[in-house]
Amino acid sequence: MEPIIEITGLVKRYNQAELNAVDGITVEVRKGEIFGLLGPNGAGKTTLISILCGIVKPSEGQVRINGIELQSGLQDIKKIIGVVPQEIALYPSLTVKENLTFFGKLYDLKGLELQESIDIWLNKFGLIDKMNHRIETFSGGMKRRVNLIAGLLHKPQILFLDEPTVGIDVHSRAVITEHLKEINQNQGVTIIYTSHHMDEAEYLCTNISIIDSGIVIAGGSPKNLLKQNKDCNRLADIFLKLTGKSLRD
Amino acid sequence: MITRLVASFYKELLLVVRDYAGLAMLFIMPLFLIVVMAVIMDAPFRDYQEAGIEIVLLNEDNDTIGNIIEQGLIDSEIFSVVNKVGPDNLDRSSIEQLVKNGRFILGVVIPQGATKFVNRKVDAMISSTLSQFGMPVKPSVIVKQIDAPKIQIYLDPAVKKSFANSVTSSIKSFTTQVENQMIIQGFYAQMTEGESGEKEMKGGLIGFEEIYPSGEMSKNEHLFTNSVQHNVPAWTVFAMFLIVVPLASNMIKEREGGSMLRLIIAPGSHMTLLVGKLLFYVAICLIQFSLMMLLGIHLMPYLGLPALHLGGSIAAVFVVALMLSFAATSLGVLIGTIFSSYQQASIFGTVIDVIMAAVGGIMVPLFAMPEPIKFIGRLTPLNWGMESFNDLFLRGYGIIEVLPEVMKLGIFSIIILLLAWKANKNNVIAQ
Ligand SMILES: Nc1ncnc2c1ncn2[C@@H]1O[C@H](COP(=O)(O)OP(=O)(O)OP(=O)(O)O)[C@@H](O)[C@H]1O
Ligand SMILES: [Mg+2]
Repeated sequence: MEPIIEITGLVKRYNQAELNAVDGITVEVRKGEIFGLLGPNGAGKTTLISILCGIVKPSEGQVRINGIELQSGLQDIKKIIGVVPQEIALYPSLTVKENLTFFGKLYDLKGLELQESIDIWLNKFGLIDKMNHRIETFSGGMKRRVNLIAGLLHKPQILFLDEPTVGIDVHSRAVITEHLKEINQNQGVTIIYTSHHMDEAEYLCTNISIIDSGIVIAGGSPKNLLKQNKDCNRLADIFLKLTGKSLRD
Repeated sequence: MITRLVASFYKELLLVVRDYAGLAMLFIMPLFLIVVMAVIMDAPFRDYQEAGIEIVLLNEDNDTIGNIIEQGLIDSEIFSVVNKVGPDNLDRSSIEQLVKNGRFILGVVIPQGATKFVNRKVDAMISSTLSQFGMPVKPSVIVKQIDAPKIQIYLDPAVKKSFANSVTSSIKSFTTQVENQMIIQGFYAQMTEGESGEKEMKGGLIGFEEIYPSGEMSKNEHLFTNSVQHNVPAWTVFAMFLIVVPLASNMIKEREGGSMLRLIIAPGSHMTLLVGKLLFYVAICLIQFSLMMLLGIHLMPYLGLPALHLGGSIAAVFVVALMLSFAATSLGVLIGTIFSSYQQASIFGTVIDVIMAAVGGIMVPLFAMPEPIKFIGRLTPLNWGMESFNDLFLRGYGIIEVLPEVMKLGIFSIIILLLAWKANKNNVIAQ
């Protein structure tokens, strides 16, 4: 498989920060992968994703997405990527449908095409009955699902998900992971995904990078990682072994 | 691009429509404010104290009459008399100009030769009186009918009629006094017996002319300010600037709530979305403005107050309202950009509006304020709006005369938007 994201020597130091949030990361994501970015709090996962979708300017290093240089080709890249932010990024006083219609229109989607796309996703995520309810009346799990749909409407080729399953119950999580797998297999969407749920990552990801303090400390397929660490039964054990047990900021 | 622009416009519409507190603040509160202010300020407006009002005086006479009027005005303590403005000497046209552009609300010109004329008239009168008693008359005092020099009083049409009347009558009374004195003195001079010749002058010797330097309308119809003419446009301008509160709050909520992130991540220019947002809030301001004007025209008469008068040029009124809306919206964008909590932004937005209203001639007309406040007041967009509406509604001017204010509003808006853009660069994209 050809690489779709090529990251070389990427560094990010925020203004007034003492340490680099991303400290020289070199990673390749191949087309059609579900790529897991795992790491403790403050490891630099959100920063890395933010650089990849053009919200944060890198301090050093190169990024190419779909063969296009990130800095110069950002507008073209934006059209093919979808982003699901870590925080719920919706208007609380607007209904599900109003939110999704607005975000769809940001991508110049309109009319029937947009409405159909919204209906399909709402159906899949069990929200079709709630489409005229305001976001502020929703539970955390329902908000997460809408947050996810808002990143999918324009049929992106690459999907960045920053902790899409944080703070939700087992049912919602199962629905989300199932649909992510389906999008990946049926539509060939490359998924880059961060999580603290190791079992979820183990089940979902074809490839992972464990990062800590802005650097990659391990990488490969879950299977290979388990092979390399014979003393560990699960990905979670490897994670703890590699990142230590001290608390993070 | 149009899709995105319209979507942004519609999204703001939904946000505002769902924000009941914001709606009340934009529409219900100003409505009450206008009605209450117009009603309770009606009485004070009819006879408020014009203390310390500046009057620009040109004493061309420089003789008895001129000096007595000047001293009388100074002693009255109602006025502070100004004889010199800027480096050049005053003349009639500069006085007219000073009143016309609102720098002074009152200008008085005492013409050259006023005293001489009155002297000759007095001499002639005395001679003719004496001749009726068979006394000899000096031929030199027989004067030809010449045009009486007139004391000219320039008044800003924005002052109320009762005030104009009281100014004119007090100046008249000074002159009558002088004239009477001169007559008595004349009799004393001509009659050694000192027989009382005190004889009230009917109408006085010297004429008066009230001049209202203004545009077309005022020539046939002077509209003097009243509670409605002041309060309706004033509180409408104030209310329009309240748009900064919901606008800034929505921007901050958008940023804090993360939706902003999606706007940045989406392809295409962010400017399109900002324009959609701006257009929406400008439209809201214009609706607010129209409603308040309709209120002034149609509701005020039911409250026993005069109806609001919009002057001759509705197009010019619209242009001013549009530029005011633009200025208010821009200010909202700046506040929404630099503040990070919407509670702070709401408080700041309201307070700055109240302060600008206080110094900008919204609460109290600017001419009744001390000079330093006037100076600051003239730097506020609320004052530019208010001055424009005074020009259009009261002075009967058109678009040409309010163009300076309109331009100031435009330049203000552009500078404010540039500041917001600069602040935004350091804000949205984490460095
Ligand atoms: N805007 C910012 N300005 C300064 N420092 C920042 C900024 N955003 C993040 N950081 C710092 O950069 C480091 C990496 O943060 P980041 O949010 O990327 O971590 P993360 O891996 O996503 O953590 P989490 O799992 O808690 O979401 C942290 O030390 C954080 O404090
Ligand atoms: Mg994060």
